[in-house]
Amino acid sequence: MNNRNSFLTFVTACIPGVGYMYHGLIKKGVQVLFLYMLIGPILYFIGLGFLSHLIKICIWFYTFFDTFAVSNKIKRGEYVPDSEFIFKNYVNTENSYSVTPTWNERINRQGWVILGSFLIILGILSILNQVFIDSDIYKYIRSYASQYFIPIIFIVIGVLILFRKKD
Amino acid sequence: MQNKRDDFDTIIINSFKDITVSDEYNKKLMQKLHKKQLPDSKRNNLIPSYALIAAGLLSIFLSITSLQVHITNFESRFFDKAVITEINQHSIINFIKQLGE
Repeated sequence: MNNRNSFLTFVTACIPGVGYMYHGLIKKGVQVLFLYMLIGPILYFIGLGFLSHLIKICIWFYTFFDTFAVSNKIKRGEYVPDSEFIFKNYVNTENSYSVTPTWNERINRQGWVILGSFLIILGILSILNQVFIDSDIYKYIRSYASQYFIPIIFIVIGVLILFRKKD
Repeated sequence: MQNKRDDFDTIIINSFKDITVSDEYNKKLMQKLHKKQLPDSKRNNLIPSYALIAAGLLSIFLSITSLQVHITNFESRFFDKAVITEINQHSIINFIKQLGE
């Protein structure tokens, strides 16, 4: 992979997934772009639209920083594989030589557990949202949670990850 | 050409006497040299943490300043002006048409 233009790297990094594609990571880039574009409509469809902007901001910042990390790795001459974006750590390596692996073969047990847990949490949140949708207190709590509580949790988790790094 | 050591030379020579290189010198030097090149596992932790902190800060900033509301207000004001201009333009054109008839 050749070195890429820094300005174009910045411009493409601003659009989630496009930065990866610019650096030759087509599969990863397409996955990120689809995820970014679909997360809003899906969450609005199940009634959790108030969470979409928070998740989108997270994905945007992650892909923005990661694009520059990928760019720096390529500049240093490191090999950057075109890996999966979501199931990167949960893909079976022993079945990678299979011609047409099924989803069950591709994703390992831990990956399915995480996906299942995520869907269960999403379902519970969606049901709770539908049950309490008419309650003013719930609306008040939901508004404050999306405005202040969840962002603060993001910051706390980010700081915890940073401190864990220094151990 | 100077053949004898002067005061300046003796100061330089004496300055080397008190230097003791510790046993960990090489190890520390290598740590300093490779400080920017953290292992992949540690480097990969940095990006999610930065992303989460930045996302949290931006979300709080947006909710405190209500920037989205300001942008929407600006957008609606702009569209109002555009609609008013269009209406005025149509009325002028209609007026000219009426004059022509």
